[in-house]
Amino acid sequence: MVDEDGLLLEVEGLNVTYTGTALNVDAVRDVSLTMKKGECVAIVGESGSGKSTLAMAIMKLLPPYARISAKKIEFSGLNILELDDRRLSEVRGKDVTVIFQDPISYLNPIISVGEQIMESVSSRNSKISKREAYAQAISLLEKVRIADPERILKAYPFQLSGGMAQRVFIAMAISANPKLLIADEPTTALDLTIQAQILRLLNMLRKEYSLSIMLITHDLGLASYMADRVYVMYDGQVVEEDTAEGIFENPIHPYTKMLIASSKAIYQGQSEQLIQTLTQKTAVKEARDVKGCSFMDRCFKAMEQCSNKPTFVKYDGTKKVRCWLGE
Amino acid sequence: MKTRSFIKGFDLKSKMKTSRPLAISTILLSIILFLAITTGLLTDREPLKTGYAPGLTAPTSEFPMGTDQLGRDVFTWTLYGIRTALVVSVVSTSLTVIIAVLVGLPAGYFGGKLDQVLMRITDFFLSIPRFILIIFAVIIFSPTLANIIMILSVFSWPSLARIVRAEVLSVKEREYVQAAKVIGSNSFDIMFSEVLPNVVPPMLVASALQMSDAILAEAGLSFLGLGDPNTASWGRMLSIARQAIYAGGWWTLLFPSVFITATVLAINLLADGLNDILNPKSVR
Amino acid sequence: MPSGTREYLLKRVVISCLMIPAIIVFTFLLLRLAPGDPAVMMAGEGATPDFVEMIRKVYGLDKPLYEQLAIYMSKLLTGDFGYSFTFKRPVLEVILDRVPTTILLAGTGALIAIAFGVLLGVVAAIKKDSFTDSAISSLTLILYSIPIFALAQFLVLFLVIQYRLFPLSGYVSLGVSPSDPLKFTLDVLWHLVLPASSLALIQMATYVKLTRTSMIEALYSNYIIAARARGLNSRRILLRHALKNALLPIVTMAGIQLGLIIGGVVITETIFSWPGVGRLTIEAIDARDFPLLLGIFIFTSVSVVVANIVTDIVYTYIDPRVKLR
Repeated sequence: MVDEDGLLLEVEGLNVTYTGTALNVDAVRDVSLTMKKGECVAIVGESGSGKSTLAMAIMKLLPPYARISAKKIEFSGLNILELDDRRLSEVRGKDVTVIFQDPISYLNPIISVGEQIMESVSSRNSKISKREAYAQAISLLEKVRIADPERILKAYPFQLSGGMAQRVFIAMAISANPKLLIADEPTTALDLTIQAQILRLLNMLRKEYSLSIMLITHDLGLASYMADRVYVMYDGQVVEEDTAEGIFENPIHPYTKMLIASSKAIYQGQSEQLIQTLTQKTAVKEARDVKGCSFMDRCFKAMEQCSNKPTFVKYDGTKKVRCWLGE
Repeated sequence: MKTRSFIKGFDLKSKMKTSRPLAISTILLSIILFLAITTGLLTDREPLKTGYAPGLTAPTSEFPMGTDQLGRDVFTWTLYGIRTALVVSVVSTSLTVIIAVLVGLPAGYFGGKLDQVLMRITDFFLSIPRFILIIFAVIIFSPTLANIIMILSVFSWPSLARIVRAEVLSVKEREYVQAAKVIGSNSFDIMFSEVLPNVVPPMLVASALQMSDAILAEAGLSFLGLGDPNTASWGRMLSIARQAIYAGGWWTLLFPSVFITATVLAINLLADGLNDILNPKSVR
Repeated sequence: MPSGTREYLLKRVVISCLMIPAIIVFTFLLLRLAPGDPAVMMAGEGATPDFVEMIRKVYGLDKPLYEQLAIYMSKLLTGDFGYSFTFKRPVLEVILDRVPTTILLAGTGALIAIAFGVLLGVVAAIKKDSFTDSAISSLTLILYSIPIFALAQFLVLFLVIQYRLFPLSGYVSLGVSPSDPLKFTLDVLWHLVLPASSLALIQMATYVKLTRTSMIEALYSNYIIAARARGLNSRRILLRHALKNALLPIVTMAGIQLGLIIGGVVITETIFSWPGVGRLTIEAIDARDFPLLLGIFIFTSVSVVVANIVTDIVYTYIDPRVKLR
């Protein structure tokens, strides 16, 4: 069921705080995003920006010490915030599926791959026979272009290569024809050649199943390859939001510019030093009571004005930005 | 350097607040130590002397913990038992630690044949049932307190030596050790001034557990009649209690049990607390 | 089983087997270290001078050390553990007589400890940081610290003396014999309750702690998150996944416990007059029956080594990561 605007996913004002014994960490602060059916949206940021937390929060997959609050989280017409775990589990794995970084560690190490796939398959259809589940597992593996599915089904996770394990994960993810696939750094742990294969696979599946993909990544190249729209995150907030062209051809926020410049530098093989200057990190402030823009310390365009927090405003038809430069 | 700052920057008060086991343990141990020190003031009877009362007597103001069948004062014996327990655990653990370090440090640092030999020896000691071995040794070498302490040390060092060796192996590769090597310090200097201080903290937890182990072992031996007959051990009183409880003498069982459990508990909590401090990331 | 594991197992078995002669040599040397005449010790303190001389000849105690060792070893290999003058029977026979009752006691105690320990550990892990968890952890801490001879006697005080619910000693009452199997079994079980419970309560603490820790690790691990993301959120399914992983260290621990619990067995059998190898040890000590004591030591050491080999083998079968490497 899709609501009138045709929005598949609508998130408004999401906050996630990790509570600890010593201090609380605000991982996600006042983030809003939307996704349409068939879209691929990339959430880009460095580690610690909150992008993974954001993705997991949408389906309430965070550990119990994470506190989620939002004005709205709506998926396909369902109000996620109000759903209890039992109802949510009917959505997870069917309409929304997730694939992870380092897929081998996300599989149970002492159960065979085949058993885990079949478990997924039969959880949706308890009447299914073992033989049918096995057959379905085989066809799923074939769909993700695995050449020898029987061997893989018998294997244990530690026997798989990273790329193979990710294919297995993707196979499980598409098994129920999901509407949305959340891909959290799906290729970061893989070799470059395997990365390309997996991306091609994802694109192919996207066309075949008119799948929407939420891609979490720190790699701008990846984002530019796959995404229709991009959200750039820094320190728990969205600092720029636009179509892919808008981000790459007309970046406004200094952080976005920095990301683009540094990945260009990497791809063009430029000097270590340049990359260092562009990506220099300062110490992470644990106390989140930074007055003013949180990017101020690293910003090469910082002005006096920046000691007041900028708000997230519309820049033009497709772009929104959180920076004084955008106003 | 990492090691010096660990010791210098150690803020006891704040550590206490973060670890409840440590706090409780400190309180308990202080009480126990206090009682051990003031034993002479709290009672002027002798722990093993019979005849303070005609026979089994229940707790009264004269005998706060009652007496046993032969008129021995349970209160006095229980208090002196603290000293026995502390002496046994501290001395034998110290010996164990010394031997373990002397064996584990070079084994881990130099490796090679030395390491192989030492590993086989520790493997051997770890695969035989310790308690029977201890009983055996105590019988052969006559049960005096000194012997018991030595026997306990001799059969406890292998597992600690293993831990020392494992720590040495991991510390060996760190930068400051490599740096010292490059400077040209000789091996022994490096071992003792760079490696050893970093090996100590992880060993503390194991050593604390060793102490509580020693108390239970000595008490077990005394219970079975294999302890030093001239020392006031809680174990022996508990073996006397076996008969006494039939005649209604519950106090001979209760008080030494409470004390030995409290002491062992306090030391185990200390180990837990040390673990909290040294491995803050471990599952609680 | 692929060759990698076979090699690994073989290596382990060989090393463990080498321990056995090492144990024998060690015991032998230990005995020689003692002050006094080894012949007198081996004959036993109540022996006649003739008997002592005979012992000296039979074991070659006036010959060089390595010859003595060889004689001793060869005797052991033929099952000759010496002669117990207290029981007037060969040592091995005396020991084997008592083994079944000890296995009954120690086995029951261990099984109860594992069953309840794992159960409580899982509950504590699921309800982490709740009141239940704290209660279980506190109980565990006390059980871990209390000596078994104190705990057992409290059980005696309350359940035997105060409320005559259980018998004090032995493993069967007077007049009850195996000719009436049902009555016999029930009677033995009735006698088994307290000593097995004492052993179980003491061991349980270790299992609760271990289960709790490894279960928590499993519950917070990545594959559980992924399982939830796939829509598998039923308690049952997640527990199955986590539990399977959490149980692996339990198996290893069970093997280790076998060696550690012997002291507890000796003490428990003594308190409850349970006729097993543990109590036999004390009887041997009281009578200064050295051949018997020596035999018990070697027998138990070898048993522990064998048991550890078995545990190793079992472990390689249940953990696919070891099985298939």
